[in-house]
Amino acid sequence: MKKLLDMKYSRVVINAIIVTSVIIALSSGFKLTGP
Amino acid sequence: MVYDGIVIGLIVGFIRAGFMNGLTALSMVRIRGGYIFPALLLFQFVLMYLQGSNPFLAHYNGYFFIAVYLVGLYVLWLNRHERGFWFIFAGVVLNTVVMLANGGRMPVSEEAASVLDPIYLKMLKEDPVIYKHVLMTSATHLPFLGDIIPLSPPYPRRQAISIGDVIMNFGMFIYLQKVMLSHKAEASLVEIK
Repeated sequence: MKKLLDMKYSRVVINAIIVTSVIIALSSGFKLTGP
Repeated sequence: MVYDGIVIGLIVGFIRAGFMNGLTALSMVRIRGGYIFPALLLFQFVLMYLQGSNPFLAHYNGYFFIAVYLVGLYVLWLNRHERGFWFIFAGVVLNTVVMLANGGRMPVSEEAASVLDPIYLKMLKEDPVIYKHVLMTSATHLPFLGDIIPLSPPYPRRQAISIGDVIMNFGMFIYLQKVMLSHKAEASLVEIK
């Protein structure tokens, strides 16, 4: 059960990284804090 | 970087779906080719880091940025069946079109950038090309698609953004609502059974 939960949380982190990078990599806002 | 659609989408999603339902839903997100996006982001950071010391990259980085956006568009297209992705796709198309029309760089309006710390405007004026941004001039093509929208108080962040940024963040908000609430609906059905 603990392993299952751990897997889910790791998946949440991976998906959060993917979803965030979709927007950050392809947006254009200017403030020199990154892409 | 403009990530407000994600932040607002997550906050509203957690409120509407509940924290655990929301987390569970986020663990089940599947985006085709999703690993490409962190790679594209990393690639841009490497470009940003190297272009100061590498004249070749500094001169030709516009082509690299266009390549990044085209690859991103392709992967977004693969996921077009997901709700909200059409908006994200459309927003990125607008950003890509204006960058293509201006040598691979996103034009920034002086007026919009004036809401930022004066150092940003000073840097833009002294060195017209900063990373993937360039100061907007009378020679800029499609200026209405550039970073012309100033964000400043009472909005909690100061930034200059484009119409494409607004549309793609709206798309991400829609996508997160759909993902997070669909799991809540499934959980409710299970409870009824």
